[in-house]
Amino acid sequence: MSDEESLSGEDDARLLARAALGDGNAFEILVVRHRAAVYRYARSVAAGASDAEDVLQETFLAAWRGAGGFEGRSSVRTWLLVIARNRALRSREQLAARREDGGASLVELGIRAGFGSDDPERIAVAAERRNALDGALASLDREDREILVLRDIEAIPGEECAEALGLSVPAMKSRLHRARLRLVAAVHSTTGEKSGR
Amino acid sequence: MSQERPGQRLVGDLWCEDVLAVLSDLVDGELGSEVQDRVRAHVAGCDECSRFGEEFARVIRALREGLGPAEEPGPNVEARLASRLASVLEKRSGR
Repeated sequence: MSDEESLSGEDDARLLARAALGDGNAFEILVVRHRAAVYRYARSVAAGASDAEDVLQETFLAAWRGAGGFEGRSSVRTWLLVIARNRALRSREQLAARREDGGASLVELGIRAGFGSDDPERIAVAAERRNALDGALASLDREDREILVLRDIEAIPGEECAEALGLSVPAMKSRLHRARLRLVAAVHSTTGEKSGR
Repeated sequence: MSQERPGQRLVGDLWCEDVLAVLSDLVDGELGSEVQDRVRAHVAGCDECSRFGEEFARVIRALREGLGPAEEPGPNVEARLASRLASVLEKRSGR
């Protein structure tokens, strides 16, 4: 068995430990395993495809340099996503604009999402078309997109997700719920349907 | 028996907005069994919460099942990443 074949069976933490000792082969396997997740996440937080590519490259360069600093408190994937987040936020100015819904109540968010609508079935049918869901997700602001990508697309566990975002678990859950309602609302708007309540 | 007020219903001991507030916990399987029973009791008597809850879950399921964005790094992106990493890796591992 070649060195690379034996490495490919190693778990992420062991590969990173080897990378910390200078093993480039181990690190390359980690890159292949996680580059798509890091890129998807970068696309959700960076200003465009070009910025996302920069974030992707800088994340893995930083991970290579900082491999020895991994403490194993989260998965390697979450650790990489935290690096990506820090890079992305550094590379762009935070939007100071107040969020459109401001302090909207859950009921208001729900109504925008079709709560009480005559035909919510249409919302789900629209959501099950990739284009509609893509468009809806793209229309959300960065905070909503990133938490949906982390929790629902990358399936990062709740506690790790909260840590990645620098939030308490309850605050992360509250943000996630509001983001999901805004996603449903965005899908709802693609149906052109007025809310019922 | 359900009471009514504009835009809200009290069914069982929960208002519609109480149910709306815990939909994510329900979808994530993070509701305690006692609260879950109360939510189910409300939903059983409230067509709108039943319908919206199902559709909310369907949208989230669609996102999780890969119907969301397929933002994969293309071959050019991967090649540039590999190229940028290559020199750094060689330098440190002395290859």
